[in-house]
Amino acid sequence: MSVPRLSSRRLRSALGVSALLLVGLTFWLGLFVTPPAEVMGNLVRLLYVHPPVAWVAYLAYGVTTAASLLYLWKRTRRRAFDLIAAASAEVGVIFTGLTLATGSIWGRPTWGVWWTWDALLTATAVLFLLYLGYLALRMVPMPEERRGVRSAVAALIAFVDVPIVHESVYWWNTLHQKPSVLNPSLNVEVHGIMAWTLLLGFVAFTLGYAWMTWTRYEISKRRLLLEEAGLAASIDDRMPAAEVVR
Amino acid sequence: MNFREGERKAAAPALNSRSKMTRSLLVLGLILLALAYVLFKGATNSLQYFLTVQQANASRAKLGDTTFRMEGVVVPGSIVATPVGVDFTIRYSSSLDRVIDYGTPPQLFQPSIPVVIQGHFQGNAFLSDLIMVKHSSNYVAEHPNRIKDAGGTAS
Amino acid sequence: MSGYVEAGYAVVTATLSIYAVGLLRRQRSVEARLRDLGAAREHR
Repeated sequence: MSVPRLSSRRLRSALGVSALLLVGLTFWLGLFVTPPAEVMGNLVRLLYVHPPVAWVAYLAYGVTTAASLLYLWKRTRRRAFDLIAAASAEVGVIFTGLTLATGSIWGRPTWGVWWTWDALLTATAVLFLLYLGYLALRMVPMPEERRGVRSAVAALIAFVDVPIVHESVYWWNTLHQKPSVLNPSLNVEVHGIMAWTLLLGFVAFTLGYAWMTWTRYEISKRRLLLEEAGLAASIDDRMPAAEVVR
Repeated sequence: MNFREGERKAAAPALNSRSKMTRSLLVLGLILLALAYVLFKGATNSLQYFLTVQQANASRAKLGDTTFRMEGVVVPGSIVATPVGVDFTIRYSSSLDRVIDYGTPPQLFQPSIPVVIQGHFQGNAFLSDLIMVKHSSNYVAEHPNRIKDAGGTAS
Repeated sequence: MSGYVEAGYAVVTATLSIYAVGLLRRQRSVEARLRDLGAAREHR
């Protein structure tokens, strides 16, 4: 039984606290310190939230894909990779949801519409549903290893959409603009303190992602320990442990 | 997500596993259905999201009065507010079209801004019922020192 | 501002807070049960 080591626990807490502080700082800079922009005015403030949140979704699915590959390859197959893939996908779905929500809230006053079926928006909606499907697939009862393999394959298939989302603004005509930061020339098309706030947003939400995924993974790991001990709480109340079949 | 309820039901035998199977397959089915809908909308809208004014004018005969989206820049000085919406000229390269729009334009609608409009040709004009503003990926502070230079304070 | 900006920030704050608090609570409950399990074993 692995009781959590203090050092890793402390590291994780520190990660959580710094993520919280940096997100707070980003929000303060974004809402009160940065200037309004040309054309957009105050609506530019959503810039410090929407792209970082979208970036985290990409990152989360990248981690899910890497962990799934490691799980699929027999020599590196470990339960931990399956759990990491699942944890990261769950956080990714939340951030994809936030990408769609903040994008919609930003789109209404700037574009004039909450939603439009351009390639980027459509591919992002597909991304959200694909990984929601991945999480749903994981809920289907089946033996652990079979679930691990099947979800890993599903994760790899779903990841195909990530480059499509990112490249959609180059491949097709879209209403959505091309990226301000993650563009091919890595030329940040944002000025001064606005750029610094945006970059801080990227760092802050990335740390938040790391804390969430790590914590989610630790929870899954401990739940498996509990399950394996055959002592899930409700059953423990009803019958002697010896009778519990795994 | 999978473990959230799992902890309580994990070791519960076959009794629960059947209904859990049905439920999870149902959820999966609903997601696939939603996916099919989104992919259909994508296939019918996103692949050819808009034509530029130039492209639209080139294939005007073929387009007839079908509804499509058209991209261009609002020509400065061409905007006229009407009781039902706004009239303006849209330009892409050297191609121009007069646009008659029904409905309120978005708040960022202004001269020289790129827009995507939805509607169809009728006579010499493009009848639009939706104007969408296409924002660039550049963000520049709004005349940073204008107010201070004038001796005022930002509010 | 415009209402939209505030709404955007609020959606992000609310969603992430709810999720993070949920994680902390789930972590606490699963660890409590693991401790109970350890104690029960020792008892036996």
